[in-house]
Amino acid sequence: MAVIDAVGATRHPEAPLDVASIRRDFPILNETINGHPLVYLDNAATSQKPRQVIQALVDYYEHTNANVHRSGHTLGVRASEAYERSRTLLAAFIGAAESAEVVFTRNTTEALNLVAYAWAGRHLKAGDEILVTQMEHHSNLVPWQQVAEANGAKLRFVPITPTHRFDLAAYAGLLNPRVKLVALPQVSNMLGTIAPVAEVSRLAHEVGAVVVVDGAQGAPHMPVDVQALGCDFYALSSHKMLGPTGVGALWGRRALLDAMPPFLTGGSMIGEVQWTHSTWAPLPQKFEAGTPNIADVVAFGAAVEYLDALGMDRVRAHEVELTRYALETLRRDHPELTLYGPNDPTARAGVISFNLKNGAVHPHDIAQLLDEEGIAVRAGHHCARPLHGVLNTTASARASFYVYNTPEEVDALSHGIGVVKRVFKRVLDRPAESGA
Amino acid sequence: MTNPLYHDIILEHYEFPRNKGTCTCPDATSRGANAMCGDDLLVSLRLDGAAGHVEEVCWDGHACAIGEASASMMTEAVSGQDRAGARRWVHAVRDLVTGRQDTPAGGPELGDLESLEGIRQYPVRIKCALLAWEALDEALTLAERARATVPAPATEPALESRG
Repeated sequence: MAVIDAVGATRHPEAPLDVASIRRDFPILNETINGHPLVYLDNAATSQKPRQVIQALVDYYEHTNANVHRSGHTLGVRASEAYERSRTLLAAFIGAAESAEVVFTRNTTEALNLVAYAWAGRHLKAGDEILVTQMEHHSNLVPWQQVAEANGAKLRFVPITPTHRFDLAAYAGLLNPRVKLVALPQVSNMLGTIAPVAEVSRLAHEVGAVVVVDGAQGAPHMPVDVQALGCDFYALSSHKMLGPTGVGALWGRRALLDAMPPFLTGGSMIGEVQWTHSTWAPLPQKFEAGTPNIADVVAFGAAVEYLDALGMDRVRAHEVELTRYALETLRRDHPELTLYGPNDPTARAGVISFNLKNGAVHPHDIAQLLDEEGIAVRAGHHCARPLHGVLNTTASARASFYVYNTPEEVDALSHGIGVVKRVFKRVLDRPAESGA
Repeated sequence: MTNPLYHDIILEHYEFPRNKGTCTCPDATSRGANAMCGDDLLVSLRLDGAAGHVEEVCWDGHACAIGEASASMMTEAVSGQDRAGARRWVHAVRDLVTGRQDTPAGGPELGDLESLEGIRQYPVRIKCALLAWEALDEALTLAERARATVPAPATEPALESRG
């Protein structure tokens, strides 16, 4: 049983996070990188793990390890209980009506593919339409391309507004009875933009479309209630929310999940197996073929408990303030930065993608020089290449925050960008080329 | 102070890239792309009629400072080289940035390209430095293949014996 009293949280919901105390829970934050204390700002790629999660993995292998849902001995029962406990914790964390609606997968990508193959692949016909947004991570785009190609359906794209928000008016204009599926990210992994999922769902349901939400950047950073969001499927990844890699989850409405055929077949997911045909286990086992990633699911439960103890309202408030501070600091110190995403920190998550003087310094070079200062950011297209095309660039650098990040680390980032500007001074001092 | 990776020579080529664009009537073009970061270069190449020397080589596209400077230096290095000479350059630069020594002795004097040696300590950047060179290697192969399908030039011994 994980001890969570040590979590850096006072229990007053209105009090801010005790970040100094939280930081002591993350051993990796003591690392020195190239002679500097680690400033980890690549949380949108993956988060770091608190010792409570690391200890849950150790405890599982030292005291619990057995296969789940088959072995009747003591350890087998213990393992099954620990595994199912994580499901119950996660179901409560996202507001699922029942834990059987939560299916463990490898990651968000697999969860979205499950919906693409087992729901969309069976329901979409030639002439049907799939709406996705311009903000999509490749994970929530490529599976729908595959369905569209296989079934003759048409992919259409909801644009972003000039201020990099979800264009609700354009979305409403695209909706029509041929739209059978709407897929969107709750939070853009590049812009940080928070999509109005509840409104999107309400409008989609008016034309009878099913709504699939990529929650990979949402669930780690803000309170999630799938009932309030009104969507039909919600996918997330453990590793972006303090848990181990190798675990994701799909939540879906029971009526939809029950009516779907299995995605993968084999052990664990069967009811009765004859030589020529089989029946399926009830939810959620129907969608969990083979021995699952038991240890990591158990440790994911510890991550959910950790976030619960912090309070997702306070996690969100912390990130809004950090984002506000970062936007102000970067704008003040480096006016030549292009900052993507909405200006209003309450309209976005703690993800700040940027370019220096319209890409005069390539994001790779920015990230390289920041790394030499101990600062971890990501550079590239962040698996959102079409979106970068919309923004008229090929790549960007991205800083993304989480519960353990501090204003001092934002200052370090700003200082690091100053170093980049000094190294590339000769390039930045050049007058802009026309047509470059 | 010079940064170990961003040598002044690299920054100078990044600022003032040589032979950027596409050459006229290329014998071959080849793309060097890094799907993970979106970098994308196009190397185009024209060989001269007789001996197959690199008459013109250009690069175009967008990459990081390392990738663009490497492409720029490459065009200067291999211009005027015969195909075997250009290939020796490819191998020498591959060895330089990976720290391997797969090439027999007698490679070219690297000159400016020695500024890329620091990349060795940054494994994720090796692909950036080699993007243009791998494209050049491919373009040389394509150009050779194209030549193999047209009549051999008059200077070759097989034709002389015909006369």
